[in-house]
Amino acid sequence: MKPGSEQFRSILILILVNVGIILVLSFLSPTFLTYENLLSVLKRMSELGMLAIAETIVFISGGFDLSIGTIMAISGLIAGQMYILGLPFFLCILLALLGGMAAGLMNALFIVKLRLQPFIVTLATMSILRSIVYGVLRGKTLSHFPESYLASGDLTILGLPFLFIVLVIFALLATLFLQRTYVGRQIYAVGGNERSAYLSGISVNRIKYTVYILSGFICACAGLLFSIRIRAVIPDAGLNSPLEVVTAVVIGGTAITGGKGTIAGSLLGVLALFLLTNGFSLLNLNPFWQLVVLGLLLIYVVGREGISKALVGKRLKKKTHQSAAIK
Amino acid sequence: MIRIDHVSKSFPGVVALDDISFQIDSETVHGLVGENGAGKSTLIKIISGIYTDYEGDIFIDDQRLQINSVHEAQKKGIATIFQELTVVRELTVAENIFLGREPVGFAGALDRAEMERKSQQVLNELNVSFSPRDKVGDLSVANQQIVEISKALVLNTQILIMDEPTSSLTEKEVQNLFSVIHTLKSKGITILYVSHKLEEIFKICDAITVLRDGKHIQTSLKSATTPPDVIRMMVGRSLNMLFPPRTAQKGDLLLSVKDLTRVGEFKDISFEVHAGEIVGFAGLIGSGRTELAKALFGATCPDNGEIKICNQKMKLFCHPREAISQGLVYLSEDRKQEGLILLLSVRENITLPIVKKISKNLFVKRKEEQNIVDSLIEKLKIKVYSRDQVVETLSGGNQQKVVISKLLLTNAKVFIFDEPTRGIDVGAKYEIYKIMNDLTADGKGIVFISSELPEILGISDRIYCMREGSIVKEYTREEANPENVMSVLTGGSSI
Repeated sequence: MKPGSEQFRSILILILVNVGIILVLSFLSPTFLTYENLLSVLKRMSELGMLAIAETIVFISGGFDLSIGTIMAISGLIAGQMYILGLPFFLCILLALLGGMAAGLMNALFIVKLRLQPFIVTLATMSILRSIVYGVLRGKTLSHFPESYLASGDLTILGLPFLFIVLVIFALLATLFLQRTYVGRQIYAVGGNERSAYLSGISVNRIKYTVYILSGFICACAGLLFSIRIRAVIPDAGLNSPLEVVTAVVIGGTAITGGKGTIAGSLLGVLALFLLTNGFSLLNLNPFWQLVVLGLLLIYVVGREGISKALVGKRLKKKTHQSAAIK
Repeated sequence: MIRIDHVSKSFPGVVALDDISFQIDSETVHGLVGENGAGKSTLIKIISGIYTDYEGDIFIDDQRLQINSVHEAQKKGIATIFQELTVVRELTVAENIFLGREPVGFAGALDRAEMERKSQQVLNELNVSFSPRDKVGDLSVANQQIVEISKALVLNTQILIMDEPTSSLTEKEVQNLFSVIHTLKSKGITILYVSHKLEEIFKICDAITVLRDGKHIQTSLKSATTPPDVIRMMVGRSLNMLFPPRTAQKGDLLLSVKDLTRVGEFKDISFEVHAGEIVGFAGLIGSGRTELAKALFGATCPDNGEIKICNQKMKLFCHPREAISQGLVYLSEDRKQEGLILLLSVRENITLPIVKKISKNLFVKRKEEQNIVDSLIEKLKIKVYSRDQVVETLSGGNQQKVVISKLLLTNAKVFIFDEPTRGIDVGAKYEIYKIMNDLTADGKGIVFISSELPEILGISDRIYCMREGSIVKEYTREEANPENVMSVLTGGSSI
């Protein structure tokens, strides 16, 4: 990312937006700008931030993944259920991660082999996996985990919560992957123009497999972080995630049509969302309004480009008419 | 009677129509011919109401035509059948014919019976065998075309424009179409028949107008002209465009293709390309050149045939990656859709095919990448303010140079250039020719596809003429001239 580039500018704007939200909220609520409050915000944004990383990669490749929240739920379920069955805990974690990757593979298979729309495929995966989660848990929660595992949620390093640090590490790795590796480059290329990428000799299908499996893996990690944070596995984990994550990622400047986007932008989008949510609850506003604000925000951000283009287009048309008239 | 009176139309950088005047008599079939880019499509788009911003006037029966849309043109009795049909495949024949003006009966309900009765009437007049209740998607292309014609008839059309109507019809279907055209003419409809197939023009038309480079060359009765005359008028320009001199020496055989076939696109194609050679592929739109190029490159899979590169037999390529790795690369005629990633930078675009090769342990070697890109920007004189400039913001000529840079990096032996100078200005064209010259001087071979006859003749060492999916003739540089090539391409020689 170069200073002066469009991406750089949009990141700067996002930072300013976040600073603005922080300023406003610290005036409105005395408890907002306390260490405890900010700590809880950072801690809570960790798993959604992970999902946003996964979704960003999928979006850049020109895809769509609605199953992120459900994969998060099922990975926690696998870990918890296996541990109850008496498997060694590291094996439970391994299986949870493999489960997430398998779900991603399933998405990719349908998208590549049957040439189905990612939106439809992942919608189906989402509902299938969610039913499995409901079926296994039957409204109960699982909370049988090793104490040291759960205790990591209370850990802080240099004053920052451990869960948040995991998120930051993932974000850095994902950024390196996207910006510096050839696979990352190919992901941008496929999202930017699949046909050109194919004719340049890129194995487009292999890129799609990579992207969805990677997404599954990151969502599975998110599931583990979530189980640590709430010390349990619950049936409704990640139920609202698709809306929240897509909003955050799009606010962060990632193109829903592919080929464009950054991890940093998405995470700043997530942060803005969490600060808003936090503000709503500190100010005792009805949580119902949060979803309304979220929806409006999404429409605004997605529509922003179209709105400005429509305006510019009208002006240009007017101009050419005028110049034609002069002629 | 249609009178076209001093009509001109320009687009930024090009004059598409330059002061055209001629007259089309009522109740005749009037042929409009010309090479690609002669201005035929622009003219019919003006008459059919797509382009409303032009100079000059069009009179219909001495009334000045004033239309602002296709819809208004239709109301004035002008209908156009474009090459790309506009039928709705999911609807029935009758529903298509009455699309947008369905007869309604009681309480605004669709009067299906009335619709089908009227449709049947029109179909009977045209003497065709399908039913108004058939789904259009199930009909052949020829019959879908008849549906469009029927639609025009229901609209009370007086003037029917047909743009390359036979481009996807079989011989027998063409005969059927011609008898439909005869019926239309006898009903008092004037037909403007646009085609570059001279054989058909001379069979069906009463009068012929020739356009060339946006200018009106001649309008005459069919009886007053001959196919060779028309061909001469179509191509009659001197090769005064500047081409760099060819200096490369012919070397070893690089590519030999034998009996390559892809069903429905081209068949039994055999040709050779030597080191140092530019081999031109001339043909009209739809002659199968691009399809051949794509199949050679593995963008589509050929059905059978044999490809040898440097005398080594290849498995027929079925993914561009395979062709690239064997030293065969393809420059698409559509650089925006099939060449560039518009959102990415010049640097990222140029190194895309080799990005894996210039990486170590997954990571792209940035210094090396920058050096490669900088040297190409300098070598091809690509005008950018930074290697990180987004390609979307470059001019056509510079975008094309970026695509060519991509190919140069692959170390290919054989380059397929499909319309490499399309949509770029004259200066940039010259530079592209020079790049092609340099490549051949370097011992590479080039397959050069172009629809512009002057550049094919100006730069190729040998020319293959393609027509309807086959190579019909091969010329050396010395033998080829605009008249004999055009006459082969249009089938004019077989009349």
